[in-house]
Amino acid sequence: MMERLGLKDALDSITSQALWQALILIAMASLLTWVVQNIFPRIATKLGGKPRLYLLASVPLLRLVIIVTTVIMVVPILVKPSFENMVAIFGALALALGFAFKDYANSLIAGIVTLYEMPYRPGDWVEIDGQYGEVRAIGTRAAELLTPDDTVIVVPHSKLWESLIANGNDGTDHLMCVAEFHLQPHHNIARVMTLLRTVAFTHPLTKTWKPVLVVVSNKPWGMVYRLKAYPVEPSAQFRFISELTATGAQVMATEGLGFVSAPVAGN
Amino acid sequence: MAKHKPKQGDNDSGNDSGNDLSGNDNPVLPGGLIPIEEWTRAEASVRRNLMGVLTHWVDQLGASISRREEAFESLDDLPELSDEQLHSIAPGPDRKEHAQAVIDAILALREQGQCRRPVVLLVAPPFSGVSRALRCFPECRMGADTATEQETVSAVLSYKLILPPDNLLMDEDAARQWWQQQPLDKPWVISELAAFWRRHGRGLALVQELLRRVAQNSAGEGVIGCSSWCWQFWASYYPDAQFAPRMPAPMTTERLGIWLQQLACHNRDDVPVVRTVTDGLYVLPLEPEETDNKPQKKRKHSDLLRNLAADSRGIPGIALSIWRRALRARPEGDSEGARDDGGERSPAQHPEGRPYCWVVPLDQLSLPTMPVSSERNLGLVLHALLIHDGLTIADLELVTAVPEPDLSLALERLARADVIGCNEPGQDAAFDLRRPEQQSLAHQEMVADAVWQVTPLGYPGVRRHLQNWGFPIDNF
Repeated sequence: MMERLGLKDALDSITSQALWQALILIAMASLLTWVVQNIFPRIATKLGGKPRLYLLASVPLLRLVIIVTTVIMVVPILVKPSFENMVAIFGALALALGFAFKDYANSLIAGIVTLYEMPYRPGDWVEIDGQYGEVRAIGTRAAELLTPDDTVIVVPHSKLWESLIANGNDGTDHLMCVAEFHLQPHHNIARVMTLLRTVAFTHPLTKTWKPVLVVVSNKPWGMVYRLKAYPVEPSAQFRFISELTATGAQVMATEGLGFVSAPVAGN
Repeated sequence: MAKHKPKQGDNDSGNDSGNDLSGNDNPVLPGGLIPIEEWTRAEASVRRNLMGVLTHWVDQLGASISRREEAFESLDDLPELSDEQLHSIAPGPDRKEHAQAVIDAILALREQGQCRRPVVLLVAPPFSGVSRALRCFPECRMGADTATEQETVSAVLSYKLILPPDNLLMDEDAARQWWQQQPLDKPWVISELAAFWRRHGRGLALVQELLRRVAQNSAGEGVIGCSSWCWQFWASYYPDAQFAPRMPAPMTTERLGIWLQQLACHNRDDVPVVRTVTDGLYVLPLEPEETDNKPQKKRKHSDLLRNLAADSRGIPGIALSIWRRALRARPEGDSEGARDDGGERSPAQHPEGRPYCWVVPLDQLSLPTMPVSSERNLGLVLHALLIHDGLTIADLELVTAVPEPDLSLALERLARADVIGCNEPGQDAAFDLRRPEQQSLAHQEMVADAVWQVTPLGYPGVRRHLQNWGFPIDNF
């Protein structure tokens, strides 16, 4: 089969010297990739804020550049870059990927699509198949999510084809948080909306230059208020929502407004 | 005493926007009062901007790797000017003159029909000196020298300074009653709006009621001074409100030169000579002066003022603090640096007999570096200090919800880095001639009712960090 593909001729030209050169190049590329994947995130955590996001987002792109550059440099060292040889090499590669590593190749290709479509980047808060967390790293085959409960979830890039991906901050440091209040009906709605808006504005972690919204809806068991605001950093979201809820509940209690204890089915 | 002030009608800069809007060419308030939409930041050279970003990153990485002593030091070992010499060459502005300049600028705006509202809102970045000047409004005359007999009545009137109540936590009814008790029927002035509220559920009522009255034109005639950080909050809180705020024009290179020169001339008859220690280029006086209609020889001028305007974001108090920090008695190896009788170095005399001193290039001057922390407490404290223009420990605990002892630890860390200082209430650190280490009580003890404020030298770094950390920042 190798002869039929012309692969034997292509590989015959590989000398031990060329092999060593290629190995050294691959080793250097691996080292560089390791540095980019391990050192950059560490530096990013020291910087914080926007520089952190930019640096994290550059990791997968830099890795792609390193891989492509390495392939471009290694292939001519090993085989003479004639048309026949290229067809032979890539034909064999396509066969191997198509039959033996179909799912792996699927994830690899999705990984490349991820790099330019960017449905998620390191530092993004995403929900994929019901799992919510921060994208910690994007590998060749899969991305790693770190959940709020400190669990790492490995998500193959192939999920990109079939799953809904909800991205909370989409490469920025703006992540809207929502605190819900289920109140008993028959009260002054405008007053409650004003009070809840003030709760968000007076929270020290609120980005006041981003919209602060209060949305109310009527449910069978009472009125549901959703207080929406942006914390200064996406990672502050859980503390932010907790404190908005606690302060809001305190203000409602001062105003004599009761929470509904449990939802009941309406007629 | 000969004061080096431009004549009426002189334009201080060809590209200064807003100068004609207020009709104010006073070097005490160069550029006058402009609408806040017209504010533009003085730009440094591209090289300096890039170096600034790189230095910022490297400083942060370095600080996170090794926890060195955080107090900043100058990078050169040239002798600094004594307090007396600083008072002579770089004194703080006269607050009464400044106040009169602001009043005149407001009057000019009213005369030109550019300010028809009875209440003028003056927004200013921290360390602009506006609230300090507004506190002097009651001592100033309200009319111009050329007031006619009919205007005499208004000329003798003066502004009434409204001070905040001790307890700022109140509900709407209490706030309404409090404002009803204030003398709003006479011209009034609020030197700093940030002192009238706290970022707390019950701490907004006073300002809400005031702004409601101002919007309804039922607050009488007055002037409200407001820190740009405080205004950022209230402009977000009332996004549809139209108060048409004004602000002092930013210090461009030209305005800064004029301002520093008139300060240097305040205590003397002649302009001191200030040159850079590295290449001897002139910083002051600004332009060759003509004597007996004979032009003097052209002097090569340094671009230090351009960098100073950019580094200070066009804020006079910060520019003055950096300027004072950069002045030196003499460059290394200069034999002209004489000693006076007391053995203290004094600025050498210029061949023309003028006082003579030197200035270090700004890239050789290290400013306070922000301490690195993974906790948000530092950011919360700094942001609260800026939006309230300084707070006591009790108020800080109220608005940041950072409990003790975490709050004291954060304050102590920031104070050690000279990023914040503890001042007496009402003191303006930017125009105080005492050195930062003398101004700050932090090195001695934490006084419970003392007010913590960001230092003028620390402000540019603090603003940059708060921006990176995602906190709401002012636009200036």
